[in-house]
Amino acid sequence: MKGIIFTEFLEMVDQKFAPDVTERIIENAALPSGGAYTTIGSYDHTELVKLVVELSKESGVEVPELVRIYGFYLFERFVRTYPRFFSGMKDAFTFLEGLDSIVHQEVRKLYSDATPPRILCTRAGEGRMEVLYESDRCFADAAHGLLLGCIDYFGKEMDVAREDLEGGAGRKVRFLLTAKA
Amino acid sequence: MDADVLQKRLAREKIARRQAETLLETKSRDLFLASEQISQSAQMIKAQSQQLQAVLDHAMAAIFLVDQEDKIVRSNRVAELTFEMSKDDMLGINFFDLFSPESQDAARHFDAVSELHQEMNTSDKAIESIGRRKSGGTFPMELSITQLDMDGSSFTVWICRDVSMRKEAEERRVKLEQELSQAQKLESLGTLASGIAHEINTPVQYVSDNSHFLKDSFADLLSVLAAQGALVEAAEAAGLLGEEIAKVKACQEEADLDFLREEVPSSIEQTLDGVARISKIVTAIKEFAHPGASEKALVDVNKAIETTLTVARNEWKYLAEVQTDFDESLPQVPCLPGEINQVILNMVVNAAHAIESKQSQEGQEGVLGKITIRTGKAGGMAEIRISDTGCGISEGDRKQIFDPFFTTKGVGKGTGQGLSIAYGSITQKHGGSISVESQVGVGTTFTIRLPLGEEAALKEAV
Repeated sequence: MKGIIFTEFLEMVDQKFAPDVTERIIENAALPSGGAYTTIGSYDHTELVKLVVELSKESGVEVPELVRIYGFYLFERFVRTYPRFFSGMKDAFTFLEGLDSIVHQEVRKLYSDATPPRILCTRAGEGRMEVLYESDRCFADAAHGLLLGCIDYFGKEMDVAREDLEGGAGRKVRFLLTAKA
Repeated sequence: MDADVLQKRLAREKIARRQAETLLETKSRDLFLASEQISQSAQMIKAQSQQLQAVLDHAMAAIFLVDQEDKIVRSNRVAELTFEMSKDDMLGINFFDLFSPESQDAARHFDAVSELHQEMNTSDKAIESIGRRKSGGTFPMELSITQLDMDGSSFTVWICRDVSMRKEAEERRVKLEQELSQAQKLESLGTLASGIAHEINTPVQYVSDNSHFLKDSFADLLSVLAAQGALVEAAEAAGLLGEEIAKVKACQEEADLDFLREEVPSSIEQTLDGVARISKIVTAIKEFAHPGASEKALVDVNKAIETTLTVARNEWKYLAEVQTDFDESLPQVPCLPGEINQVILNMVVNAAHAIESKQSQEGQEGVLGKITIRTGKAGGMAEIRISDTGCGISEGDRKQIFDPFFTTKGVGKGTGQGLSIAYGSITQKHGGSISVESQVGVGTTFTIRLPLGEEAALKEAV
């Protein structure tokens, strides 16, 4: 997993909780990397899982909820860091449709070893879109949070229905986005 | 943020910085290696591209790479030369514009069939078509085609061969085969004629001998008849043997003895003359045919001309008078007898045709022209000049008359081979020369010069 996911997570903990919370979860997680991340490096995604688990212990917030919150936060950060991906995008559906072919493609150009999740978007009628998430890292909650951040960014209110597939481990999940009237 | 937290973060940042630097180094090295590899690949691709282009350019056919919209995307040097177009002119144009309008549909059909059966190898199948050069000229070409897919797009490779030369060579070969076949027939006829002439000679000989015998015998009989006449007159004057004398006189009257006495000698003379002419023609045919004579021999050119004129008499006797002016001191010339006879025959027949053409042009059918044949010596060579009072040869045609298959004669009258064969025989096989002088509407003179043998040339020089 790319280092930016770790650095942004620690940044979020600093902001939303406190710097000493950040230090404690790093220390308690006993990470192989010691919590020293650089955005362009690659690290084992289980380190993030350990950090989230420790944060859950610290905050009392459930892990899935924390991951969703992080997803939401991450989308906002992406908008600020990579504004070119969002210019000209009129709505959430248009952006999501170009996610795999444009954004993930750009990620692969920069990091040939990157393995972003597979996202398949299908229009399911007027104001409806089905988004299929699939990743061996099982971060469907992060995807969920990112979707919520995306909807919030484009400003059109939507209902998000989630259906966990293949045993509900968060490896493969179908989201149904429905625009509110 | 307290000092402890800051210290921890500083420590992590230092580690992260080292990671980043290491990563940067690794990436820089990877980038350098990749760049080097790309550079090598680019050089290799460039070299391969140059090799490929060189192979394409040196192919003996025009090669085109054509896309799905029938646009030319690549071509070789031969394509530029064949269609008289620059590469810039050619790239991007519709490939089928390189065909003559009437050939475009067939070429498109060939393309479609090939595309339909592209799982089969169609590169060995070819069709003939007509190409069109930039100048508008057309030419026959042979087409073969291969369909291929590159980077998800379909292309067609067209190989076009200009077969103009091959077609001409084939036509020439067919004509030469016909000519050879004709020559073989003529040779067979020559052999046959020579054999027939030999067979005719025997009866002609005894007809001739017997005619001479009859001529001499009749002269003797005339003496007997003269003595008998004197006896009859004497007996009548003496009044003796009246009845027998009357019978003799009756027989003489019945036989019309006076007529026989006068006409039989001339009949025998005419017979002898006819037999002599048959003998001359037979001899001429034998001499003309020379079956199998493939080596040079000493030939009496004057006699050869006489022989040829005899054989070809039917070709000229209704069109021209023939006058000969022979140098009787001309030595025998080393040559191929059959070929020299053939050359002279071609010249005489051409002269007769030229006279016929002039008669036809001027509406003077039946007015005889004149063919004059002179022989002599010039510059150590035997010279034969064959002149006619025919239609003449224009200056433009004079440049081509010795070219194979060039003829101005009507269909069925000439193959355009006579003068070409004569030229080849005189210049190449005999080391001589052949030239022409002509004036349109006045006539033509062909001059043939043949080298004399060393001995004859020496005598000539003395």
